[in-house]
Amino acid sequence: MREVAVIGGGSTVFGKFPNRSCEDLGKEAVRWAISDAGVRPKDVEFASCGTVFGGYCMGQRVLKEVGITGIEIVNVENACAGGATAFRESWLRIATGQYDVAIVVGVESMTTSPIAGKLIEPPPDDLDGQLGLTVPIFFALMMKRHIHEYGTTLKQAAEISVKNHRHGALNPYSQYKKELTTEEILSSRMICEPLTLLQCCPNTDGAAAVVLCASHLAKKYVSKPVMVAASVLRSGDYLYRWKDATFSDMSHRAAGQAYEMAGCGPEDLDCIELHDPFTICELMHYEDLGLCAKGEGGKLIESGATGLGGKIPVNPSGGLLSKGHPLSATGVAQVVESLWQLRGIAGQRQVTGAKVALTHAVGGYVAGLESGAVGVHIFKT
Amino acid sequence: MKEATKENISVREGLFVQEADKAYLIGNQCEGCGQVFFPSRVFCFHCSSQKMEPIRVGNRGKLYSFTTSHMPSTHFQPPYTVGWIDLMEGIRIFSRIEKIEGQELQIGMEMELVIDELWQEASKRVVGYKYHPIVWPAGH
Repeated sequence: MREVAVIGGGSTVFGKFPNRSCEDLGKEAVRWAISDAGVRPKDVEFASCGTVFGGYCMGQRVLKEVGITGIEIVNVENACAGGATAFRESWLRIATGQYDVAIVVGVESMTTSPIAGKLIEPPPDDLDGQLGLTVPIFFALMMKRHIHEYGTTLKQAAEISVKNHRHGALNPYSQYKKELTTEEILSSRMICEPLTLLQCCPNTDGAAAVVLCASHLAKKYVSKPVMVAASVLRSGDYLYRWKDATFSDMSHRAAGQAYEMAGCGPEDLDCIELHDPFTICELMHYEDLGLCAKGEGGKLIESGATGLGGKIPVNPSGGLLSKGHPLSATGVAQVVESLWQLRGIAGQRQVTGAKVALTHAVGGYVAGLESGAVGVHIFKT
Repeated sequence: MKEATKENISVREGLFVQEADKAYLIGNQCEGCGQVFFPSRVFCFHCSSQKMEPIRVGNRGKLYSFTTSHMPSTHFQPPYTVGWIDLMEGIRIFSRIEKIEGQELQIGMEMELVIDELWQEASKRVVGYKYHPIVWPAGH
């Protein structure tokens, strides 16, 4: 496998833009990414695009707006891990020597999607879905059990949202851009006990893009390329083998493989962008990514270690909770944030001296499985 | 009168059975490795054996976790309560939970299966399974 570099990135502001099409959002992110990388549209040999609700040929529809046509374009769907999947697809094509320069796009317009303002409907053959299971219920059940087993408190869970909104207030690309207090979070409308509204990510529109190239060519384009040290994508296992619902086996296995591939461990990471659609998710991922022992997630957030200025800042961008969650754009936006952090240009939310970053995206409730997919990537300067 | 004319249909055929005083879910078990499945599978997802024996499961279980949803779903208006039940046969299933008046739900509670109406459609009453806490006789 060849080494692959990230040489450019771009993103729209995340938010609600009912008058903007996916093409329009995607075009903005792509134009920024290619100019940032210093590549010409005709240099791009391969493209991968992630979307859930954008519809057919999303990649072609975006890239024709910026002069990229006639190349191999692959459109992928992997629910909320679609962006990470698209990223891996381009990485793989370069790592295996098929192409030298590729672009990755993730784009989603939730406000114009068929599920705008609603929960995602279960398919008719999903028995649990017919019996009332929804995504927030799934995580509320895990949260309740985590509280039961480890004494995790509602305040500790709310602190995840406080932290991510504090970070997001420093990020001009975030949807909320606003700090929230523990009291505001805990007293917001109840969604699924004990998850309140401000412990859930919002509906979001947005797009993000990155340009990758074979590492030996990177210096031709940019002075500070960032190397892809690990790329792992895995699907979830059967629920009957998932004994402990307070711990994500799927994320734990994927992270273990990523650490092995990158030749590093969780102690070597400087910053992390992880999947936090609900507060309990981030708290659990502290444990399955190996930032702390099983059951210690509540204590870790309380210690301040995962806030900016702490030992291992998590979601300096604001995460899904504050920055927003345009499903397939999220995984690509995590890479853009990591690129900015490792280049040292993340402004007020910069993690001082960041050299190693990890991104983690989880996607898709699938009946009978722990989850649909997880993508873990590690980047190094 | 109108109520009585509604036809009962199962949420899915072959999922459960109601006996005189006990209800059971119908799953199957691998004759090779012993793994239990609910709903039934055509072969064992664990060891790939084709030898599967139907078994009755889930009359009783323990509450692994529960929540009350304040959001609607396809068939239910909020608030409604659901949970994961650890069955005595070693698997965990998702189910609606019927609370008992004046009793708080607690993780670890002993639960019992009931066959009951889940929701109504135009001319049909959709029947499925739920769990409720076991009410022990006084002095137990």
